[in-house]
Amino acid sequence: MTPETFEAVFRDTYERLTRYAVRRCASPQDAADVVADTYAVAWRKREKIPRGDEAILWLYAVARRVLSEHRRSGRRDALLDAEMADLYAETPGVEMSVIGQTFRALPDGDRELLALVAWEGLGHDEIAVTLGITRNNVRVRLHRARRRFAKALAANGVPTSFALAPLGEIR
Amino acid sequence: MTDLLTTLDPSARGGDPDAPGARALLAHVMSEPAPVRRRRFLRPALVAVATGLVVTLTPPQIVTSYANAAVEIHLEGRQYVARILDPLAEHERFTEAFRAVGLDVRIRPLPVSPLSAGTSLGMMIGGTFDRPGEIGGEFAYDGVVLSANPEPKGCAPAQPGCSLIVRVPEGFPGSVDIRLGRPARPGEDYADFDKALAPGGPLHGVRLRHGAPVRDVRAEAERRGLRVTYQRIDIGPGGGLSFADVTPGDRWTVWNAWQVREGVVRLLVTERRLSQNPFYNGSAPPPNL
Repeated sequence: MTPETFEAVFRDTYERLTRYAVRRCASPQDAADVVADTYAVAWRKREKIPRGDEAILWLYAVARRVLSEHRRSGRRDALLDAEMADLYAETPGVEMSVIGQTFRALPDGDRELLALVAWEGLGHDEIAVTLGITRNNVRVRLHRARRRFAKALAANGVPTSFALAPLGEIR
Repeated sequence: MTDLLTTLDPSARGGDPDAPGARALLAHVMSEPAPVRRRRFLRPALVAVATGLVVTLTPPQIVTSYANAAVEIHLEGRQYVARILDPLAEHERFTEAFRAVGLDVRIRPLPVSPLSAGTSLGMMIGGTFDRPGEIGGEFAYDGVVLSANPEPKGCAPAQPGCSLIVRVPEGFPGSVDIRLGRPARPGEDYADFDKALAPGGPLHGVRLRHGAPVRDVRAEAERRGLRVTYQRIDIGPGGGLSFADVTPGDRWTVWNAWQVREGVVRLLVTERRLSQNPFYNGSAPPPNL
């Protein structure tokens, strides 16, 4: 992969990767670290970056490993930190925060699956590539994650229609 | 049900790959030399393709010196030395000249203040090669330096007799991307925003090393006919700085100043006076601060 191609991948994926990091890091500095470390790994392994639409899925997988390692980047860039801080949404109101708290209390695996659907907007095939599991496995795990989330929401007084939808019809 | 979550998306929007921080990140990431790797054998399929190419294509003639209106290149020992004659020339002129001597060197123009026009804002070195190294702080390949500096050393490229000299080892297999400052068009943001306090900069002579009251710095900036904007400095738990637009009081403290574009500066401020300048944390002091 030439530097030009890498730069093109960076341009194509930067918006989505920054959102991925912001959604999973409480502080802009941590999000900046995840973004910086992910692209540093991508540069070192640039021969392995898949072409086209799969590049972002590959980067999500790298970012997921970066997040799980909890490394602190040695590099601090005030500009990048400031740009990350601008990407955060306003804190939602009280009613919404019940859903937020319920979501944050879910097991890590469930949270990641639901986030990939709700926020990254990935389909089952794309999630399978990102997580390195089979499509069928995605379907089953996602169903369980949704069920646990619905149950937890109901326990916190937020009813959902999830129980009515049979397995297979749920996106 | 995931619709419920959609409304809770913690990110308001995605980052802009053209923002200065993103650009700096890309440059930083790509400046890292590639890991050492040696291929001993070509796979049979590749050999077949390569043989086919030899038969059907005439290899381009590599010369050891080349000159056009933009650049003059010649071989000195094991190093190509390129003198940039016209930093404002079409960048294809540079690419073609370096290609003629067998090198992949590109010059990318970035909008800058008159202070940095014609100077290099940094290099990106790409490609896979063994034998990377460092000599006197410059990147080296096979014991030969790769650099882009004005010569005579420290001169201003706009001055007569001063030009940017690019040195690249003979046969360097990687690619080199040199960010070359070009004068910004009216209203265009400067890539060399950190030169506000440098000699010739809009706020040269203003001392901010130990902080200064907003009132004083604003008065001086207005006296010089500058439009002033402000950002508050927020210091993260890890010591990282972030900035947010703010309307400061007269007694707030200014710690640094940036040149945003022609006639516009940005003062970086805090409401309370800090014990030390957050841009100078005990390591090497930033120049001009």
